[in-house]
Amino acid sequence: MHSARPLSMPTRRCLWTLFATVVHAAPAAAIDYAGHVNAGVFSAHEKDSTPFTGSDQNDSLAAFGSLYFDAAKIGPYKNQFTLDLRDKYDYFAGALDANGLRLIPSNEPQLRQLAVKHPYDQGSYYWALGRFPIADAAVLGNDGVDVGIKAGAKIKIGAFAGLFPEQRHGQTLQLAKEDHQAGAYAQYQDQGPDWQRSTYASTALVLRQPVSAVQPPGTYIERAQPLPDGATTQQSETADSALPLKNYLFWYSNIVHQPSEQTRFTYLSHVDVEPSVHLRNLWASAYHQWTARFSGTLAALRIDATEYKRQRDLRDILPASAYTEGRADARFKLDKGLMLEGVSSIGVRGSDQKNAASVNAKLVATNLQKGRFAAFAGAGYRKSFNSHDLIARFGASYFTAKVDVDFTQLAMIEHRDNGETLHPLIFDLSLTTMLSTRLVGSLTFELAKDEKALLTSALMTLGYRFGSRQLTPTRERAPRLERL
Amino acid sequence: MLRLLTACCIMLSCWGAPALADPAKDLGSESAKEGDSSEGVFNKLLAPGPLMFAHRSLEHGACLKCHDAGKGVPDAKCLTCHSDIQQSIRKRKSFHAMTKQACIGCHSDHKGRDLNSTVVSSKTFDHSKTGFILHGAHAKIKCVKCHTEKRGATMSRSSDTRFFGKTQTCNGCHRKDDIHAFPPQWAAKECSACHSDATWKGAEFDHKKATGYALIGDHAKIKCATCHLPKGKASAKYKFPELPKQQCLTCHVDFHKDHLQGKFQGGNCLQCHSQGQETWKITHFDHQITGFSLLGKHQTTACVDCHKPPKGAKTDLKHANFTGLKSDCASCHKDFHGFRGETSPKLGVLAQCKTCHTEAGWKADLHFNHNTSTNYPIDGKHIGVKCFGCHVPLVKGQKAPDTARKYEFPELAGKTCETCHASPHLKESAEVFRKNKCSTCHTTQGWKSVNLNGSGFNHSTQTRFPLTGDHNKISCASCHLKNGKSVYKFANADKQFCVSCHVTVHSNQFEPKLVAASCATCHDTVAFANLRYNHNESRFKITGAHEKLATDCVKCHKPSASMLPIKPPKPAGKFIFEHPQSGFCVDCHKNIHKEQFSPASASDNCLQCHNVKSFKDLSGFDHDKTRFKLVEAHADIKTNCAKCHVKTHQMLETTPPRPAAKFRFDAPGVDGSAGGFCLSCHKNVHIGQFDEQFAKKPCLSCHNQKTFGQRSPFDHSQTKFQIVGAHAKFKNNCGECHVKTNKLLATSPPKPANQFLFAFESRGYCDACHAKEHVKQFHPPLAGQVCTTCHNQNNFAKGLTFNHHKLARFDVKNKHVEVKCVECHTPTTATYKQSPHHPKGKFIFDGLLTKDCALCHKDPHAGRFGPKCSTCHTDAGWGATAGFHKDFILTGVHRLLDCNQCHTDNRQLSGTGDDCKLCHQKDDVHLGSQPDCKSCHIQQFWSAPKFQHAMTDFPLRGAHRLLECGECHAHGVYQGKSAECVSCHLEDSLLVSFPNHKQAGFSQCETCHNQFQFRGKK
Repeated sequence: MHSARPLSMPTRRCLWTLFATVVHAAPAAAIDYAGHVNAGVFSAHEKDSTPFTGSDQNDSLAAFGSLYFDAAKIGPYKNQFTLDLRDKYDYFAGALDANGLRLIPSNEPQLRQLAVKHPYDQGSYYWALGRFPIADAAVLGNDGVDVGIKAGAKIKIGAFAGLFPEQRHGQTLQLAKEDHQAGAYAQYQDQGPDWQRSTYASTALVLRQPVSAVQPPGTYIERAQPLPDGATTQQSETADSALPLKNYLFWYSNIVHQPSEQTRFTYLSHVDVEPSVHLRNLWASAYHQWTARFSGTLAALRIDATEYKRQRDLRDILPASAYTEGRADARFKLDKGLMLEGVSSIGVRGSDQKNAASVNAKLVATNLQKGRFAAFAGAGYRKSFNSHDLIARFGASYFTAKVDVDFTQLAMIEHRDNGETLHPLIFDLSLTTMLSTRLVGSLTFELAKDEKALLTSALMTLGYRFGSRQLTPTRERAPRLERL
Repeated sequence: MLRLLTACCIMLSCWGAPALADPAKDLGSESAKEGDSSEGVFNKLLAPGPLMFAHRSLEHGACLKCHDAGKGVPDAKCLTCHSDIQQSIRKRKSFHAMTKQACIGCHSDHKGRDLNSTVVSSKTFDHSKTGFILHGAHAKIKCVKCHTEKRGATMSRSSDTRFFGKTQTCNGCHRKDDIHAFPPQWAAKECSACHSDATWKGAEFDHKKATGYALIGDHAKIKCATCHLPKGKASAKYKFPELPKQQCLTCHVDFHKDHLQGKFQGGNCLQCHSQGQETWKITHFDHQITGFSLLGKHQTTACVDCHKPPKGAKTDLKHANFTGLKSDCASCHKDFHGFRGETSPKLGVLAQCKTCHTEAGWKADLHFNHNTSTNYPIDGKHIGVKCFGCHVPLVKGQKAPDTARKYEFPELAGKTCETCHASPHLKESAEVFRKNKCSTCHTTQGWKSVNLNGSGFNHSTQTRFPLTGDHNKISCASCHLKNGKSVYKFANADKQFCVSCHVTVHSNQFEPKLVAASCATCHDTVAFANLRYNHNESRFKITGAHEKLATDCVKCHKPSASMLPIKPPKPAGKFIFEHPQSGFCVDCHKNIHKEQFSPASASDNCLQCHNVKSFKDLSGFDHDKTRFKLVEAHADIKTNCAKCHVKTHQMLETTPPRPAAKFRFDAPGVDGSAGGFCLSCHKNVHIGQFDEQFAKKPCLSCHNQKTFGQRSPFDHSQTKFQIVGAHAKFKNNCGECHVKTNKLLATSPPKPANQFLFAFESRGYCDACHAKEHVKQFHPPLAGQVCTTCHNQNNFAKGLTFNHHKLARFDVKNKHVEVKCVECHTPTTATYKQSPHHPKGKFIFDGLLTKDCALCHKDPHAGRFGPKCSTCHTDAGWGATAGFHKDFILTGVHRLLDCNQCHTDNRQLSGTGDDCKLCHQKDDVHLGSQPDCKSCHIQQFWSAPKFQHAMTDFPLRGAHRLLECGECHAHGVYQGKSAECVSCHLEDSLLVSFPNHKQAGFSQCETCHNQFQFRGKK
């Protein structure tokens, strides 16, 4: 386990200086800039039916903040600077005080992004330097450089190299102990004459070379070959340690093709190439609106992230397996602002042919009270690998230009295969308000309970957006199609 | 010395006693219970005996309270305690004041507790000494009857009668017996004022003397309480202040109420009633007091017959209404005669019944004789006529209803019979006869008995028919006797009665007017054949050349085929002529002008042009009576008819035949109205020059007869173009618009024609004069509009009014309304011909319908959202959008983001809002195995998902809270993971050698370990 490593003082000073310089300089340079600050507190009170070490309390408390700043058209070359700084102080997620049988707080700052870029809209080439994500390659962070050029009006190609920052809960922290990575990507984007028609496709090859001698647990372990059947875990651990660390090469693809407002295809896939070729995950969907009142989507999912390592412990109810699932949903517009939606899915596990299925129906009304209110009510049935459940949910939302209020209620009956029946009940209430055109506040409450636990949580956030750019307009009424 | 010893002993016995007495006893207390009779010691030693119960407290050293050492028991000592007796003595009232004996003379003591020192013997006690002598009943009753008070509060013998203190007033004992309930001032009086103690009842009370009100009759018999206590003691009343005013009504109910006359009201019932009678009922009432003496039949009439009760009430005296009647007869009796104030010179006021009638009977003793009482004696047939046969007036010759009676006949002096009788003689003759009285010829014996003898009757003067000529020679019966009946009434007075006797033979011969006329119009009574007709009274006056035919009637009245029914029959002359409208000319003279004149002018009335003096003389013709008046220039040729009325080829049927002149002139397009004949003589040079409306108009619309060239003032409002605004300045300068053309008028000499026909009528004619400035400047729908759509004649350039909503393809509303025209319609390089310094604005916008807002507004989205800004924005302002971000709700953190953070490189994300992973694929720690991100995560805070691990089989506690999801769910499997420790920690257990978990078969980790501290047992 790793404890949180806060930024060192010199690093912090450097960052704040850089930030202050940019923030103050931006207006002076009359550049285009925008950003937001966000802060919040999350608190949850959990009471378990089974006491643990003499206590049935399992509370959470975290305070968080973030700063995002983006300045464009800097200097004669119209470069861009982006800073994304986040911090979370978790009162119960720092470290473990084993003697005190308690968790102690920790502060987890992260530098999500710090980069200088030359964007495409300022020319036919692109470069980025610093720490930045690469969406076209599905790379969360790259501490290095990225360059690209336009190969025509619709095609861009690029390459990047750098370090893959250490991730913890999806966060990137420091420079130390990071894998090397490099890759190349291409992007095709065809924006039609209006927003209803567009095509986006990106594909990338990403190579990562581990630098650590020891792979931390939970990270991806590459294997040259699968374990033989019957091999014990210990044998697999031993075998693991003897294996040299391999490079990891994967091919990422993402396509979104919308030839018209009535039709849309999406595709997302990760295909591992090295150390062996296999499909890690694939998602494909097709949407079509047949009539003004009827539309539907078909989707397919295939995941197999654990091809390389499978635990053979017999106690596992569900050993690792590939999983394939098909989904279908249909929407029928009954009236203006009234829609009936049905979603169904069926999935099969490769190893044991266990299947899971679900079917849900939901009635949605979005044009109540001249667009002020939206509401839905739905019910469904779900069969998972080890339970079958009945689900009912309903909710309502209220929209004005300044306030959004959401309320949802979910009730389930879980019939476990082990004979246990649970009745989860989850109630959510959320209030978001535009205190001003730039100031946004939100308040969220959740109450969840079943026979095992009772949880109440509250979240409060306050965000402020600033900048010289035009602020995104605010919504004035409930969404027309209710795609929540 | 002895006194001293006695005093000492007394003092000792009194003072020393307490020391020997019961210490518990309260010495001298009067609250000691009755029965407590312990004697004082010294009293025992020195006194002759115990004191009585009431005095027992004095035994304990209070001897001197009663005794005066050596002087016995003085009264003063007793009265010191018995203060009430002392007071009575002082007031010299009561027994004790009267008696001269000392207290101890009657009241002794020291004889024991039970001594009753106030025993009074009812037999021996002289009550008079108390001041209250017992008389009458008082002397017979027992003491305790009056002395009812008990000692009560006294300490001894509380049940004994207390004789002291009794009041001597009657009220003191007899208050409860007081039935009078006298008011306070009367209550103070003693009963003895009226009553005696000999007997209570039979009080001596003089009501009159005491109250001023004498009790008479029944009043004397009734009980006092009847008046004074009508409803018991609570209603006691002894004062009647209202009695003087209300009198009887003070006690008695006003039975009659408003049914009595005023003077009988007020309570003085004694006016009719009396107290002395046995009953209230009135048996005899002197009616005289009412002012109306009952005489004659009134005496026998029942009271209620006159004094009728109100409607609905019983008809008895009780309910009779004694008001409302007056002494005059009409108050009760209906005036049969219907007099209305008439006055007879002989009888006086007729409405007074007494004038004729008496109370002896209505019809009996009637004091009326028509012959002597009126100015009109009745005789003959009048005698049999009932009164109302005359005393009802005539209305329009008919008798009026009986209710309208008439008794005054002032006209009788003059009219006599006609006052009542309508004269049968007709008006014409009545005037003659008006001078005569009916009685001149008629009598009251009957109308038909007429006596003319000696009556001086002159037919000529007294009738409407003077007898002349042969009429004088015939007998009366020749006329007045028809079929055996006398006839004196003749009709046809308007025709002088001729036809009443003579039959007319001219019925079909003459015109109706002449037929209706009298025969005397032509004939006389001397000889019927003598004709004396004044032709000038007919419709054809004989003048001029006709005069020579005046005596030769048959020249005109030629014999017809009809024969007159006379003897011998003769052919009837023609007297009916069919052409009065022509002055009867054509009845004799032939009309030769039939086709020569127009129908409007054609007439058989030759006199319109000709005259009876000379047929050829036409100087009398008034041309102004035709449809064409000769005025101005035409007046000059007035006498030269042939200038206009030229000879035609048609020949007149004259002798010899002559060519007919032209008299028929048609006014083209006009129905013969004046001024429309110009073209009959003058040539129309304006053919094709005017539009249809004016081409049809007569020449005089513009020209005049004075001088053709000079045009009359023309009202341009008749045209389709109104001269207003700026055009008004050209009003008198027609040539500015009506310019000369190349065409020549067919005048002499030829002249260029002015333009009067203009094109572009549909466009208000503007284009006819004004250059087409907006060619290619407007789009076709607007270009086709008339100029007045925007411009007006008052101010062509500045007075622009344009409805953008209706006429343009772009509806200006909301924010666009505030924009000035030139901001959108920017100036171009082109200029107006008429105003070269004014550049033309841009009004044609290519792509308006396709480019939408981008036509004017720069698209900050660089077209990536398509060309239609209105998809999201409205013209209410850029900030407000309609359904912004329609499908993906921006909430939570997403609301803070800049557009470019999601739409990197202006990427379109339409339809992908539901798929979180399409943006967050790089953030996916689940390696794609959980495609529904929103099923667990919320937009407000990614790290706090909705997924509650506590609601699974394995709540994350302890160290497990610090793990990455993949550390347990390393294989992408998020459901079905075993909650048993060993499912993850099996290898950990296998690594432990001491103790060797495998050998020991340890499988329940939680037995020794916990989630905080796995290593080493807990």
